[in-house]
Amino acid sequence: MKIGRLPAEAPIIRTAVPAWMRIRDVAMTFGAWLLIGYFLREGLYLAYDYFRTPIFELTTATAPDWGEMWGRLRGFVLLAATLVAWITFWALDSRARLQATHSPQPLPLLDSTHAASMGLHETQLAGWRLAKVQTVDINLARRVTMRQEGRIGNGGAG
Amino acid sequence: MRDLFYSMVPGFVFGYPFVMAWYWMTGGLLHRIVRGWHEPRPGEPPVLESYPPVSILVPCHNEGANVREVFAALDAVDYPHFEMIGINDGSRDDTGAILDELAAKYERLRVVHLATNRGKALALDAGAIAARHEILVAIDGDSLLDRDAVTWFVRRFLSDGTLGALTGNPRIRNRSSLLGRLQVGEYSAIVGLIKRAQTLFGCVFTVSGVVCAFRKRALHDGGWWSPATLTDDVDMTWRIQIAGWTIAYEPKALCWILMPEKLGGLWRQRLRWSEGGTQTVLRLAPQMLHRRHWRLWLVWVNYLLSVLWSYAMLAGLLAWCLKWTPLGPLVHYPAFSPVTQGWGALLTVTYLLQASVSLMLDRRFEQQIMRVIFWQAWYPLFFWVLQALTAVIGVPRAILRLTRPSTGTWVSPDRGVR
Repeated sequence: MKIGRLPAEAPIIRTAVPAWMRIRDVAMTFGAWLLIGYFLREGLYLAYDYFRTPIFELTTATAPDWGEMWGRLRGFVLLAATLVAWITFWALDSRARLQATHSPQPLPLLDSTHAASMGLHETQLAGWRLAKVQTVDINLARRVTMRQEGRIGNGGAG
Repeated sequence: MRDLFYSMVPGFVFGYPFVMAWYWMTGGLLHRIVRGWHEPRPGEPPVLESYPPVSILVPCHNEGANVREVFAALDAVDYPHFEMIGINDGSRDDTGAILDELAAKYERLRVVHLATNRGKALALDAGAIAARHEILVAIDGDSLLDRDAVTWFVRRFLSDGTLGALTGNPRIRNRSSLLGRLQVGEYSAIVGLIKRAQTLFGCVFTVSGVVCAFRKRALHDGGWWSPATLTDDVDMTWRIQIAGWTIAYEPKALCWILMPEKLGGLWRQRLRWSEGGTQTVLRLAPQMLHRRHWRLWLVWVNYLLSVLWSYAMLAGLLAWCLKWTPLGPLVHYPAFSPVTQGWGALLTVTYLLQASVSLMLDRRFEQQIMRVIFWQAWYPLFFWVLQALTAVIGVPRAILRLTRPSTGTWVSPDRGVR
C-alpha cells in the first residue's frame, strides 16, 4: 500500500457548454439571491443598522417585538433543542463503536448455504466461480441456471 | 377546531424542516467530532491489520459508453486482493462485447451475462453467486470508484463485526449545468448530513446503491436483493437492519457518479426514489412489529412525516393559487404564499446554514466545494417544491404498485451533459 501520497485527481466533467448557457445560469442564480435578499430585507436592514456606527444600537430601524417572536418560535426551538440533546446522547453512546479499530468478525456465509438459497448445489456454485465469462438465466424467484460458459451471441447479450 | 387546524398546518410546514435541519447539522458535526477527528486523511488510508479479499460487483445495462472507463478505474483500485465482476443485464447495446473484451484485458475481471434483462436487483443476485469472497462492494455501471474506497470499506468492517453493510460517499462528476451544480450541494447538505446523523443514531434509511459494501452473510440474512421493489438499495437496507445487522456511512469511500442534468431526467429519478422509498416502508412495516426494531420505527416515522410535510406544503401553495380564482371561498385550508415572508425567510436562512455546515465538512474530499454555495440559492426556491411534488405523486403510485408485482427491469437514466 502506498502511504502519504497525494489524493487522486477528481474526475469531474466540465463540458464546454455554450457561453450563453453559462451567462444564463449565473444571471438566474444572481436573481435567485436577489430574491432571497428581498425576502430577508427587513432582517438584513436591522442587522446593518445595528452594526453600523454607532455600533450595537438601532438608529433608523425599528426593533421587532422580540417577545412576540420568541413566543411564536419557542415551541420549535425547544423541540430542536430536544432533538439536538437526543442525537448528542447517541453520539456519546456510539463513541466507542465508532472509534474502534478492531472487532471480532462474524463467520462468513457458507457456500453451501448460499447455493441452497439460490436453488443450486455447492459443486455447481464452485464451478460457476471458476468461469471467466458465462451466461446465466435467473428468474424472479432467484433460481439460477447456467446457459453456457462464455457469452451467447444474441441481441440480449450484445 | 378550525383555528387549531389553521395554526397547526402552518406550524408543521415551518416546524418540520426547521427542527430537522438543526438535528441533521448537529448530527453531521458530532459525526465529524466522534468519528472523524482522529481519522487519517481521505487520501491516506492506514495499513490494515489484514486485507480480506473483496468482490466488486458492477451491474451494467446499456453501459457501452461507460464500461471501459469504469473498469479502468476499478483496475487502478489500491487494494491487494480483489476481483471485479461485470454483470451484463441483457444490454441491447455493445456492453456485452466490450465486457468480454475487457475480461481478456483484465485478469481479475470476470463477466456474467444475463440471458435476458432482469433488472439491477437480480443482476446483483447473479453477481453475488459468482463472487468468490465474503465482502462485496457494489457500484453502478457508470460510476468511478475511488482507488482507496475498498480499503476504507474493509477497514470499517474490520472495526465493527456488527456491521452488515456500509454506504459510501457518492460525489457528482457532471457539473456543467445549473442542475448538476445544484445537486453537488444537495448531496452534501442533505444526503451526507442525514447519513452522518443516522449513523450516530444507529439506523440508516438507505445505503446509496451507487456505492455500497456488504457482508454476504448479512445479505443472506436480509434475503438478498429483491426485484419486487423499485429501489433495491432502500429495500436491502431495511431488510438487513430488520435481520439484526447495523449499517453505517463511510464518507471516505468515494465514488464519482453521473446525475441527471435535465429537468425531465431529474424528475423521473426523484419520482422513482420517492415511489421506491414509500413502497419499501409500506411493504416492510409488518416485519418491524417488534420492540427491538424501535430505531427503525423512528426512521420510518420521520419518513412518513416528510411525506406528510410534502402534502401539507403543496396543499397550502395550491390553496394560495385558488384564492385568486372563483373557487377561493370554497377552499378551507391555510394558504401559503410562494413569496416567502417571516417564517419562510427563517427557513431559507436555516437551509443556507445547513448547506454551509455540510460543505465545510466535505471540504476534506473536495477543497473547492465551498464554491457551490452560490448555486444553493435554488434549493429553497425551487428544489423543495420539486422534491415535495415527487413525494406527493410517488405515494399513490407506490400504493398502487403494492398490488402489482414488479418486473424489475430498468431503463437507462439521464446521465447529464457530456
